[in-house]
Amino acid sequence: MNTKGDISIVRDEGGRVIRAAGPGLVDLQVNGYGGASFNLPIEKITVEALRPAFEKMRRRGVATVLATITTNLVPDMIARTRHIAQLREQDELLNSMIAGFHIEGPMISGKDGPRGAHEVKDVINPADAPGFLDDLQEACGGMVRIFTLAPELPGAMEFIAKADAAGVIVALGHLNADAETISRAVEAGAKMTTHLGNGAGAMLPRLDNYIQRQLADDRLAASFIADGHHVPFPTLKNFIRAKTPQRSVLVTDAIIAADMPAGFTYGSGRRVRKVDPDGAVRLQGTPYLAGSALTLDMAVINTAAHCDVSFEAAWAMASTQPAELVGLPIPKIVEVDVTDNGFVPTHTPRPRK
Amino acid sequence: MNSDNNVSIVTDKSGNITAAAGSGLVDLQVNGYAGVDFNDSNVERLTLDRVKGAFEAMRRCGVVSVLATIVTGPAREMIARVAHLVKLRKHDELLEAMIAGFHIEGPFISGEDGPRGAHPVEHVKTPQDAPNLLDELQDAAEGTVRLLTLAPELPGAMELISRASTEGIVVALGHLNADAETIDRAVAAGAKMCTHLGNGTHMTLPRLDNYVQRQLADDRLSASFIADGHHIPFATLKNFIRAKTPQRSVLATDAIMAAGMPPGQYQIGKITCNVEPNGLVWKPGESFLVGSALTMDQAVLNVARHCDVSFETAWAMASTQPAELVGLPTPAKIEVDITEKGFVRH
Repeated sequence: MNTKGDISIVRDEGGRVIRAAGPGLVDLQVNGYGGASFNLPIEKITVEALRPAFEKMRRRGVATVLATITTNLVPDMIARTRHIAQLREQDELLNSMIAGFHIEGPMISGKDGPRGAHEVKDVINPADAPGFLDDLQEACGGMVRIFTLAPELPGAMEFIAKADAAGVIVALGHLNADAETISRAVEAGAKMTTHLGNGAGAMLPRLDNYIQRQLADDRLAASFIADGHHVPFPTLKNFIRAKTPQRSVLVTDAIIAADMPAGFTYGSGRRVRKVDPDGAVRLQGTPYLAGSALTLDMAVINTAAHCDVSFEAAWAMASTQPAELVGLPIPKIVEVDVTDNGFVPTHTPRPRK
Repeated sequence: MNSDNNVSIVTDKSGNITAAAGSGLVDLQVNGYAGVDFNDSNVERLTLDRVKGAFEAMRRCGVVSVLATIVTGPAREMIARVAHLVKLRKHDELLEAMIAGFHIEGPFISGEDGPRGAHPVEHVKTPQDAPNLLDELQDAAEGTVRLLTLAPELPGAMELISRASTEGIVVALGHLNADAETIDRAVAAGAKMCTHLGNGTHMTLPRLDNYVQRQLADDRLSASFIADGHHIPFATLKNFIRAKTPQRSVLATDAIMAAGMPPGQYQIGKITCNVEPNGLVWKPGESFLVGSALTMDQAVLNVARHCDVSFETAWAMASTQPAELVGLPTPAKIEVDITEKGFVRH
């Protein structure tokens, strides 16, 4: 048994990690999971629908998550946040695992590419809704922890400063900003980048672009989606070295399809999305990614396998580091067996020194 | 006096580095310097005095060893340029000491706009078109071709990579438009480095999966970088050096005749270019950079100032590391004062 920080691992004779214990995993970006979603019509979001999803997540070592509410009409986003906060009061598991909210949009770039899969009709400027964050906080009892926005929008700098002063972590994301705007956003209080590399134009200037500028700014932490589809692993290795593992955190950005078998489909009409055999969620019949089906345990395993980061460092990037970044307590220790399919609960006692 | 990587520094009361001593600087990519173009279409213009003047200017700022770089041109002219510099080298002690060999950059590069950079498209060839060119260049160089930059996607490239590597020539990937698999095969065939990584590329690239990121990620490849702040913004260079690791990174100037010259307009072959006071070299009417006016001492100072690398490490990236990479002996020790204008050799 090797111990590094608070993380202990057991390897088999071939050196493979087969068991691990450490602070529970913390996922700062969960849109949905295991057939449930925070972004379905509100009447479909129930304790009964959410509980099985959180039980599955917990079995994989996840201790806490930020429920992520994405671009929608402002009143809808507020109602949704209020509703989920109320559900949380009705169930012990949801209460312990939903540590707060990540609000991603609607104050993002309206451009194709940076906007990602967010609905263009609902995108707004901070100047259009300066009281949005206050309304959200009132609706959910002050549980908004991360607010992702594009800093180039009218009113963004004031919004960043105000959110930061109120203790909310402002993340840059889905943006189309120049170097100077990114730098001003950091000075105004932005602390991280959301899924760096994604929510970006398909083609970018080779050397001077908003990805490289955010990567280079050591005042910004960054989250990454380590599924091998959103960022190719060699590029992710480069990005983690450039950002440093200490400033990097792993998130899933999981949607309803996460932890569901290949072949799972949802949506309708031309928007049918399907989990392919390689684990990617695509618009059916196209090569386009339509969300992430990543689970956080697999993010740890992938990063340790492909990105020149130790298993312990990868675990910290998915537990203590995201917790510290948004000011959550360090989760209790979890013990898991590590398999090809991810983490499973350990029932045998852990050897102790 | 602090010593690290065999580099010693002297600092003043406010912590500024005022003097340093260490292994002399080694520049793996010099096309010309101080008004002299090693790729001059008329080799007769490359008189001993002028070439000597260029190397004296390099020597004053701490450079002890250089790979004279011969770029894409008609095969006969490339061979003649190498032969001419070899002849001059025999007649002069300074050139003998400083010209450690040749870097052949082209003509085996991508013909596409962007990856090709400023190389003339009409002289671009595939290794298959000219299977004996490297041998002829090596004969003319009397065995001192040390570095060959090529694009691995060209017909015959893999064979040339493995043949050159076997003969002790370091093969660098550059001016390429290759996919991940081709880059991987080139490394397996023997390629050891990337020439001016980030430059000699398309102006826009797929955001995440592209030949720059693939080469950056391959820890079997070292990389050279042009640290003038124009070829790569320093912020991006910092990212690239962290990703490649400082130990696998070397600094090269890719200097043209405008290096070490005052701002103004210069004629380089058929190209007229402007050198700005900030060192930017550009061709009126085009967005591509046509070369660099960087000097090796400035490269060290820039990287230490902007790229989260210590002065000692930046120095090693410009001296012992490039020497080791191409199999040169450890460069002779130098001592320099460090001024706002760069290094001044004792």
